Amino acid sequence: MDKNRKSLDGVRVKEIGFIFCLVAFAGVLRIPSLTQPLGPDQGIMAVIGQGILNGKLPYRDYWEMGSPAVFFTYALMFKLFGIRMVAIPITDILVSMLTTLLIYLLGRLVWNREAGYASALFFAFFSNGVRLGMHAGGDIAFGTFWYIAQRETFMLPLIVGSFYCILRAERGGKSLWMLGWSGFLSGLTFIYKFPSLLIFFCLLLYLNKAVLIPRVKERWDGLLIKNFVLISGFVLALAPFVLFFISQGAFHEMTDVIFKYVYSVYGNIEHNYLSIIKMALTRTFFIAQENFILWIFFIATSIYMIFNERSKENLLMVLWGLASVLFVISHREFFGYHYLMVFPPFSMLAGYGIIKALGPRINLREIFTEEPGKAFIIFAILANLVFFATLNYMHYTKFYYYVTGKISQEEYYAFFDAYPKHDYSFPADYEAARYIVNHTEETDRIFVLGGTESVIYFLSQRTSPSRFIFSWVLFSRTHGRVPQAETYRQELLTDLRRKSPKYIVTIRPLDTFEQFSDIYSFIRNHYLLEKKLQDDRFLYVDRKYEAGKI
Amino acid sequence: MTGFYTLTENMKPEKYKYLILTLLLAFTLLIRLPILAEPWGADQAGYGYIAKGILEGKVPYKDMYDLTAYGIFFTFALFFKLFGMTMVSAHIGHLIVSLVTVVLVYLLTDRLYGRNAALISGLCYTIFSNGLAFSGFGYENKSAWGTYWYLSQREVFMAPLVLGAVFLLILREKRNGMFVDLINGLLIGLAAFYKVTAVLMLVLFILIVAREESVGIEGFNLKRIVGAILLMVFGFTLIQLPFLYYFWKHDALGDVYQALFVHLSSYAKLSRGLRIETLFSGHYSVMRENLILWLFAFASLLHILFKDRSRNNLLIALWTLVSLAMVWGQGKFFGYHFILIVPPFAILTGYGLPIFLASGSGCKEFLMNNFSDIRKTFILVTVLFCLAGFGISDYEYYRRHALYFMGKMPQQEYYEVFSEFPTHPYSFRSDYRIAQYLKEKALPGEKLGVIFSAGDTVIHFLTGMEPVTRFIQSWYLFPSDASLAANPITARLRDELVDQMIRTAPRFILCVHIPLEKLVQIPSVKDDPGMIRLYEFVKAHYRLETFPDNRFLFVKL
Repeated sequence: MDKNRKSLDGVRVKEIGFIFCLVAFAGVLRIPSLTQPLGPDQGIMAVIGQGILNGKLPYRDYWEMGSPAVFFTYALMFKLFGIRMVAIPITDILVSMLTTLLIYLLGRLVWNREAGYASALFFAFFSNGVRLGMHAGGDIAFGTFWYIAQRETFMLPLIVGSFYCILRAERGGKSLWMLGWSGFLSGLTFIYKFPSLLIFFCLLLYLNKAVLIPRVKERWDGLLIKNFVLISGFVLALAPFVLFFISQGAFHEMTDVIFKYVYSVYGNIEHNYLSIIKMALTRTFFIAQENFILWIFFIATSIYMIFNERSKENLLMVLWGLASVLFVISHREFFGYHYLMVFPPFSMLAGYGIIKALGPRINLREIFTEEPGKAFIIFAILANLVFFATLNYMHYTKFYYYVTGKISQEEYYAFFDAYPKHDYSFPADYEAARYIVNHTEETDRIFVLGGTESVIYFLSQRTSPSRFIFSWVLFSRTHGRVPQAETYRQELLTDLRRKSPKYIVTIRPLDTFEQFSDIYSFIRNHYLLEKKLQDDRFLYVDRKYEAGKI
Repeated sequence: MTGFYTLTENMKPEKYKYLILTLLLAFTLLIRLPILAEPWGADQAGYGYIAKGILEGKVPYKDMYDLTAYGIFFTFALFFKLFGMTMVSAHIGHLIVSLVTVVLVYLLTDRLYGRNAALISGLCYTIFSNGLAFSGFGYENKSAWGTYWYLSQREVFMAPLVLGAVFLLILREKRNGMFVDLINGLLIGLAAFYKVTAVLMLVLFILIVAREESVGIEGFNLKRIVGAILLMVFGFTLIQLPFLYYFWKHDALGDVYQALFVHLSSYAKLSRGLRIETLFSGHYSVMRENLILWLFAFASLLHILFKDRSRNNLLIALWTLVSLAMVWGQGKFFGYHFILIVPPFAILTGYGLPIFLASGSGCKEFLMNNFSDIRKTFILVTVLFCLAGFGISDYEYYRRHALYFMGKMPQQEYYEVFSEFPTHPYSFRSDYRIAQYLKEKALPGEKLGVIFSAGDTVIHFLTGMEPVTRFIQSWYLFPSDASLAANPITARLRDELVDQMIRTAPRFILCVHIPLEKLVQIPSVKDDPGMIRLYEFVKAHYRLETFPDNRFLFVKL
């Protein structure tokens, strides 16, 4: 190990070449995402991101349950790349390339160059699999459109960066600055998703190893300062967001939604732990079929390290992997993109494991004749590649057919349809948006009732009369039953009455909203069904427009 | 052999060998209990109906047209004779054959590699040959529910025959070669009844025997070589004679030839051509469940070829490769095609696992010895990962059956999952409802005409209603490929179906999967005057009753 560390001092041309290839590889693999349309979450984030650029605010002007960082990220990407769908995959690609680079740097720092290369390669490859688009109903989303540019995507480089900084800090140099940065980056991840606190705990544990491991000696005053700096960095990252919302007078709205309402829903759900475990195992195994080599290496390398190489940095990597798994579990939903969080630590441990198991140089003749264990591992990797190719084949071929003109845009978009397993259907929403554009003025308002179809606002560039730019929460069996939801529904009804939209698009037939009698009656009385679109989309037009009064 | 966990190796007395085998058989039986409740899949429905017909004096191909080789029909007939004319009889047959195969895998591995390996191979076979993966359709990574799609498939019966022949070839080293050659010919001949790809095994055996006879103690002996080959070919041919006599006696040899050699070959191009996505998809569907067998099989193959080239090891290696060739040769990559590879893969796993892992005299020592090496840790974790994956994917299958057996789930609800529509036209749950409807409405002696079907023969079996035509499955008369539709044999057979249907005018006519008005519009048959005539006839004289999963039952006005 010491020998490897010495070699860290110099960066060679060959190394730069390798890194460039790895990062480029991460980018090239993701090219098909450039033509993909928006997924449901991305549609919501895009509307809010664009709104921020127009001076509006999340929560106050756009109701959402998620924490705020991602909306500002979307605003930033639109600022950089223009307000269009392709800005989202471009950003996703760049962020994934950055994460690949950071994983290499971390692997190189903790172990050696070879482990860094292998870790980065594992990450670049497997974090682009289609199975990460898994949603509640399983394999419902085509390609990668469901999970690109999700919150986790942006958290990954921040987390890897925070681990890099804390390790650099502990190895000397500008240690306090590095610690501060580590805390700051962790704090930023917290603003994307609160459960990332679990990963921050890993950093705290690592920093306080002297307290936990008797053989590690460290002065207590020095330790206190380090803790102070790390936590200060973390808090410092939160401050701008808090101050911004306070200055805009929207802090209360933010906490009202992301704490009060969310807790009223999730805090009162009665959990059947047996079914959660069943769901966890089923969905994890479903995801792991595409990248099982990472899971096996994560477990095997962790066991090996615990039994044979218990250095504090190795144990930090193991701890990170476990915390990432806990991050996924903490959501209790096990959506595909939640698992993005496990890829950096799993790739790191897989990178180390494969170099340790196969050695830096592979001699096939020797492996086949003398080392059956190595042959077994090589076959396992090949099998995983076959699995990956099988699952991802369509994603790449459809893209190829589309860009070479062998299929039309309509045919291509038809793949991005999760209906009826999930409400979302991009082709239907695209059709609705086109119809709306052709039948409205730019100043006309529209509203989408039910579903997660904010994408219709984004595609048509029409505004909603209400801050509820997606409204499944108001009508769902869980979210729609809490007292706060009734207040929200009344707010929505008031908005609809006051600023009546020209068109209302219902996701599923209007009768499915019958139990919400106020809203149902309002639409029945004031709107007429003008068009039925595919996948149970119904376009209702305001009667006064229909009657030619305006 | 460097040891694995040495528990069973210490059980030296012979009686332990049989104790382990008995426990293994009990386990095999236990995990296969759900098959006694499962209904028939699409293929089994066809086999079952023809087998019933055979026992009633009808002749396959002549009275009951099909494109499948006849071995499976007579096998089903045998089970009906033994266990009664019910769906479960075929599954009892499957169970018995599975037990026989487990015994053969265990004894063969025990003979070659010892008690530890035999236990591992036996367990691997019994667990993984009962997985859900073999229900794969071979495309789009889709699988049928449970195991009903592959129960009593042809490969299930071929596996012990081929395995038995390999066992005999291993014994041939020390026993009477001539007798073994003859029996081997018979066994492979029997396997070829089910699928002609078994001929590949015959070729392999001929090459092995020829080589052994040419380099034996007595040196090159042409007479012995020719004699051994002739005996095998003789055995292979001999077993066909009773069946050929049967068809000849019933004046059906021409029909057999037309169906299996002329018509079938024209349909072969439906699935041949090795589409790359089907190749990947078929393998993925199977490997995701029993990956561990593939990994050990390939790593062990390499080890044998580079390091451990004994006569019997090479025989196992070649058998493995030929089994793969038998799967690949079909070009469809359906899940059940892969059943053939489970015995050799299980044996190679039994061979490889003790070599690749460190030994230990107790559980703790075994784990510690392996955890000190990252490669061995990796292998151990992979084994546990695959077993956990198998458990997770099969959980729902066993849970549902437990509820059904305990009476907590009614039959109708239990049958709900046995529908592959719309991935495949077959839907047992809907066919079962139609059968219940017909049992209630149809009068004794009334017939059920079927225009387009794919396995829905199960309705005839369940109701006892006779079909109108001999085309008990007729999907192949309406291919999407225009050249196949225009094929003279297909066109002639379709005319036969139309003529008989109109002439008989049964009270009930069923069209499955595609509404009749759409069926007559598919490009390949839309200009067929017979089809237009049939459509007009049905439209004029029948009313429509629809059932779930696109079942269209026309009832005479």
